[in-house]
Amino acid sequence: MLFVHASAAAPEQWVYITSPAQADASIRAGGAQYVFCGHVHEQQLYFRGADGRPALFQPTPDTSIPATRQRQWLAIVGSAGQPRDRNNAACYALFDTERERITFYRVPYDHRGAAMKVRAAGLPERIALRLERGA
Amino acid sequence: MTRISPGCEIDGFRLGDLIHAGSMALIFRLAGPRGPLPLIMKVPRLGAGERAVNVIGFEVCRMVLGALGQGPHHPTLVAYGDVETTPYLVIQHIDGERLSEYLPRTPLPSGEIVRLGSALAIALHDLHRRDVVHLDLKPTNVMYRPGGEAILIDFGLAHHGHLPDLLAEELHFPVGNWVYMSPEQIMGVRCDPRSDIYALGGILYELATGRPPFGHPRAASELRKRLYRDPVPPRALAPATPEWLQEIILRCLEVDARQRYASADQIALDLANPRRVALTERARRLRRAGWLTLTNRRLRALRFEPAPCPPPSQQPQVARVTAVALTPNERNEMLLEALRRAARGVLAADPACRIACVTVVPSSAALNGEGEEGTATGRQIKRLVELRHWARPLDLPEERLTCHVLESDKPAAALVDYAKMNDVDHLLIGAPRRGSSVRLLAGVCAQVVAEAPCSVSVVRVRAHD
Repeated sequence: MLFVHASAAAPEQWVYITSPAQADASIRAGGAQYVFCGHVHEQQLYFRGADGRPALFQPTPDTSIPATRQRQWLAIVGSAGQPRDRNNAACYALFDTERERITFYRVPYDHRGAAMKVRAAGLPERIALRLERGA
Repeated sequence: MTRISPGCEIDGFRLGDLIHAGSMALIFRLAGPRGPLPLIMKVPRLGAGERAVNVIGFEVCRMVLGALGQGPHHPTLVAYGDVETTPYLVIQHIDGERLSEYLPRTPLPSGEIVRLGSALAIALHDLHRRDVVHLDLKPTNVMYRPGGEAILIDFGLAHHGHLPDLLAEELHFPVGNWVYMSPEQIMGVRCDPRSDIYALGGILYELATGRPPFGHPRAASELRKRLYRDPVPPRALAPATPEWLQEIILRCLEVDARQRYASADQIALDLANPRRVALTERARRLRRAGWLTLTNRRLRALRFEPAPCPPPSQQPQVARVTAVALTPNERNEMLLEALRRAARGVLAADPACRIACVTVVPSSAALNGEGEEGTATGRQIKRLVELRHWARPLDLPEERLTCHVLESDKPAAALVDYAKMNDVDHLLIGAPRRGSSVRLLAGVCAQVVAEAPCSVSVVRVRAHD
């Protein structure tokens, strides 16, 4: 199991994983059965099929997905703030190592309170707005 | 891996007789009592000379059956083994007959086709509501319990709307049974429940005529023909086929998924009510399309774009049913209009949903046999006309509107039963008048709200006082 912020292929270059090819590079470099990462703020799951090519799957929140050891998986778990999909709920994922299942979740939180703190701290307005709009 | 044969034990399960040796898996009965369910073990054929699709099929079957859990129309997955060491699935054993056992006796009389077909359509609808597309529907994969309910088996090629599709990315040739395969499946689409509806049409065709609509293709290249070639109309092969049955079959077999039934429960409903099947040109067709039409279609087939799959979601996306309980004969125009407005709201919110207008009349034993209202059929027709008249301003196409007159002396129980039997998702019912002296009516509404299996909206005309 490997945890990396962006891509395991070049952690220092902060590559966004936005295609199966980039997911493939990260999975190869990671050399683990499961790679968990963030950086891209949307929840996504890549899995490598028997023909070696990784495929992208858009997970549905709260649905437990069997992710067996026989395949390699790369899960982008999303972020707790700074969402990009017009949904201002925070993202996280749980991996059950025993049952080999990944479940993605979205949870609402007090994003208005957080945005107010951003403003009170004198940080740029766009950061506060992004928390509220979810994009 | 040890050689698997009857008598040996795997993870505490002792193998009984080998009951089936298919191309993808071996199936053993399990010996000895283990819990309440009779069980079988399915062991995929793996190893040298076996196809990769067997392994993936095993994984898919495990994933989809695992996600489906328990249900009336699919077997329950009880246990499974590790795919690398001892791959196996322990599944509930289904006792009953296979649909394939009927094939030697085809063509079947239409009554029998209705019985087998509507049970199958109901099972398919249940599966689609759970966001699963079977994609390998064929007579050997359909079983019937002694009570008549259909059970779908073998989920090795299935697609689950909320799980990664292990087959979509890996197979570059159409997997599944070519005989009943839909045009979009041939093009690699694996997410459309209407592909199962096409296969159901193929099965009904075979039951009615004794042969599948496109024969038994031997090469993948032959498959493309069904993108433009229409099947010989069933009535040309088996003249005893009623027009309504041909209409149902050919509608299922439309090349464009959007022209087929939107959901399998509508097929069950049509099979159960032949008289209300809307007959089109399909019903009367006696020969295949001529060469001119065929040439046109061939040209169009070159650019064939499968219809987009209906999106899966938390809610079942298959056409939902909203029933409206009406008493048009009471001439309460204000209330009828309020109900119509409520129905419009539902239709606007869910453009795929279907409206079923329902009214309850006292059972016919109470009739005196005189006059227009005096006979059961006379009254039935009058009520149907009233229901259709109520629905006319909604401007719905034929397939999205159905009207039903229920005969019962217990209106609330009749409505609740109707909602249960027809998978109604939402029931609209008019409120009794405030301060109504008719206590009976208030009782009907309250009982329906209390006992209906679905959401119930009670509609009332805004009071001004």
